Amino acid sequence: MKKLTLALVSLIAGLTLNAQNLMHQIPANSELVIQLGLDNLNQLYPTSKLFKLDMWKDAAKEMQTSSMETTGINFKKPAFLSVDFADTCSYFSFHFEIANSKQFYELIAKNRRDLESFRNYKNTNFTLVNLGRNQFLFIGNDYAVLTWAEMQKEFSDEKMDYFMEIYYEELRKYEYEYQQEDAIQGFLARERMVELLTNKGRSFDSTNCFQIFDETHEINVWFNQFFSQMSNFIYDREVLQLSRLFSILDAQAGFDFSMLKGKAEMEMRIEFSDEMGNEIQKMFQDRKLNQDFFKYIPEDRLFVQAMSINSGVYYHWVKRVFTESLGGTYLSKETMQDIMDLVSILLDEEAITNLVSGDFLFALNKIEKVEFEYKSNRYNDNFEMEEYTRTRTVEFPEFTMVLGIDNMRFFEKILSILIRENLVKEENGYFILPAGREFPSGVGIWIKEDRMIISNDFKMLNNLKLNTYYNSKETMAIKSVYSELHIHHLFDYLAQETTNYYDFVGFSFLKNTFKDLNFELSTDVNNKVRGHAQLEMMDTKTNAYVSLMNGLNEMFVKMELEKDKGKYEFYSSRLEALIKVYESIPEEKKSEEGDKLVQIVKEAIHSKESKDDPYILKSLIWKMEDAIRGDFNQLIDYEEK
Amino acid sequence: MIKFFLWFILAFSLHSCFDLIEEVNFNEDGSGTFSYQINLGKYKFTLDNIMRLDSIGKYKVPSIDDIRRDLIELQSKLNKIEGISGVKCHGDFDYFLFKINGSFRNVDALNKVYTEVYNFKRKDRVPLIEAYKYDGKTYVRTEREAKSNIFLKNAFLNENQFTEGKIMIVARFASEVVEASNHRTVISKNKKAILTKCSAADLMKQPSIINCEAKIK
Repeated sequence: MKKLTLALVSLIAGLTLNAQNLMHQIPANSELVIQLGLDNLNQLYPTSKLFKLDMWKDAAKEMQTSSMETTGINFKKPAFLSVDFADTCSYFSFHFEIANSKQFYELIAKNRRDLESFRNYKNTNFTLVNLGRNQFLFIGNDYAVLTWAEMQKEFSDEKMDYFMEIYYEELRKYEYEYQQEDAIQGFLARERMVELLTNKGRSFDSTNCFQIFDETHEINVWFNQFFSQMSNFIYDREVLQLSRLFSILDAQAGFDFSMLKGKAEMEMRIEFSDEMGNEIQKMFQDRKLNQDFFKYIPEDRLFVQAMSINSGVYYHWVKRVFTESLGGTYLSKETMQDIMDLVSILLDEEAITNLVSGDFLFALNKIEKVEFEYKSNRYNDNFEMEEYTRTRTVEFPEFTMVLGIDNMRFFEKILSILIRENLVKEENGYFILPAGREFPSGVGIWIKEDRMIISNDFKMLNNLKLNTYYNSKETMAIKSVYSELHIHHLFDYLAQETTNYYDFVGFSFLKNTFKDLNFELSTDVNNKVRGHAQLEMMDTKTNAYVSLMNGLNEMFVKMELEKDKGKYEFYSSRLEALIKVYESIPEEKKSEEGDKLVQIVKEAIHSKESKDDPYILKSLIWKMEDAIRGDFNQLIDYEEK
Repeated sequence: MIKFFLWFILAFSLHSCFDLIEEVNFNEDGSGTFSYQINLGKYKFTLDNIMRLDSIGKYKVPSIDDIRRDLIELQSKLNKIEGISGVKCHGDFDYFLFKINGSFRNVDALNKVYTEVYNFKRKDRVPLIEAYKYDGKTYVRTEREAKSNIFLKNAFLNENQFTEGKIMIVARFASEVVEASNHRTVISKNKKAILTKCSAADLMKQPSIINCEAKIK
């Protein structure tokens, strides 16, 4: 037992030390760092097996390797991707350790026959390899860094001519301007890396964000003032309001991903600046979700967002976000501040606190489909009219929103105005808002004592006066913020709906691989925001990483290797289902053209041409759908004929 | 006529997708039959839900009984017009399909029908509208130019909501049609009918879009 404990401690200590060794190479001003626990991942799905999957087979063959162990890369130690959003460029670098230099050089040489390398580049003790126009690989004794960069547009516009001059010699080999611009980005990444490798500055592991999360699982992600630095990146792309909003989200964050049997888990910690941290702490302090709200939504819903917050503090925060994000754009920041202060005179934080409880739930139950028949007319060539029946399907989201209220009289007054103006009608104990294009079902509002429900789930609304509710499963969530996305349900629906093969394969991958995603958020005593996410997989017996890789491989095979076979199977099965639908239509509603089309479709499904070119079948799907709707051969469109 | 239907739709549902079909059949002596049809069936699901309400804002939502009463009243008024006979106003509430059809002795009587339908339930009645002219050699269909763009005038109306609605105007004759002035108008294969088609949004913006003069052999 002692030996086992010692071995485990050594392993964990070893992993941590190894991680920190390479982390020293990453500069403290990186905004985003991702650590890949190669050893952990390799133990879950050995690359000797992974490389046999169709998805990796060709790449492995090209690299002339059967597993990552034979590449010379040190698989026992983690690899790091770092991103630095500087004002001039976004710099990217991928750091990994080398176990066997000879094997690694052989790997590079095999894959880059036009290898251009410089030993001891600029006295760095590194070998520099140009892996393409804008990518450079620095190879040291025991680790390597792959680096590249993307220039910010403003910087590029301003400095491109200057760089064209100073890198003139190196750029001569590139014929086109876009190639030269690409190459300049590579040179900038290269020069930055030389600086970093020769002048060791403060390393990333000394930053606060590394401190708030230094656990090592399969994948770790750290955000170091990520959002505020992202604001420069966004500003460069001329989305000013969003940029300003990001600039106030000054935070350090750490994410720890674990791949487990049947699920993947993510632990998250965020540390905002003191001012914002205090606000967020006040917003979530002593708050717990109102579990009673869940009885208004069905168990098989698609999406839920629930939260419990201090409404007054949240209101204050929203005003600040508005001031910061809109101030200085259309209006000056001072004017925006004045407007927000004026708003506060009418409705201040205290009023909001007394008005709503801060408990909130929004659920997207399902996408409701209603099919109905209607009469239409068509004309023949002599403009004689014929009346016929068509079908139409209306689709709309069924949703429920529950809001905790503290001042029912306020909402009753608003409703009384709506009633007076005939904008709502009372029925079955709730109020109906008229149907519209977006919500053809209309929307109901139910209000009582401490809560208001806005929903177009009329079955639920009609049952409220009978005190009948859904059988709500108690969520594990006791935190301030809870989200839930039923990935399988959502993408199952989308996969059934689509007539595009590639969308179908993508949706099928998501529905067959992932089941549910849950996310919870709360704050701890140190003003840190803590989050926990759980991604449940459809295969509960296999590790999530293995399920993911197998799912991706299956998608790759269907999209690339067997796409013609896949398309044929997809389109022909859709057509066979549509033929069954058409054949179930009463005889009087079928048309001669529709009957002919069915024959054509049946022949097409079994024809050699459609097996060679499955797109022939795709166009028939649309025609079959028209025939089922009664739209076939629309003579009414005479003008277009 | 068309304006009446459009306001009927507005009062009914505020926004909609609908088809409106006007058919006039002329005999050699200038008499004939007419049929006006408005089809809100595409919007059935939403209309069923709207009908649950009494009013939407200042617009009263008519009940099925209200509409039936109005149709009977309109039918009675139209049948009283000299030169008009056999008018039937029919509403199918399962499919939200409304039809007015009957016979006319001459084009003047037809214009009276058009004007009566236009003026139905309106406070500011207009004098006789000459929507149709027919002398055996020439047929003219006229809608007055709009005073202003309805979509600019009424902020609650959105042009996109009316683009799905189709307007079909058909006129059939005993003799062959030689030519039609409107480029939107199509002559049938047997040359004895013309069809003008546009979207409801186009018609609401510019009613004169359907104006057409046809020469008849």
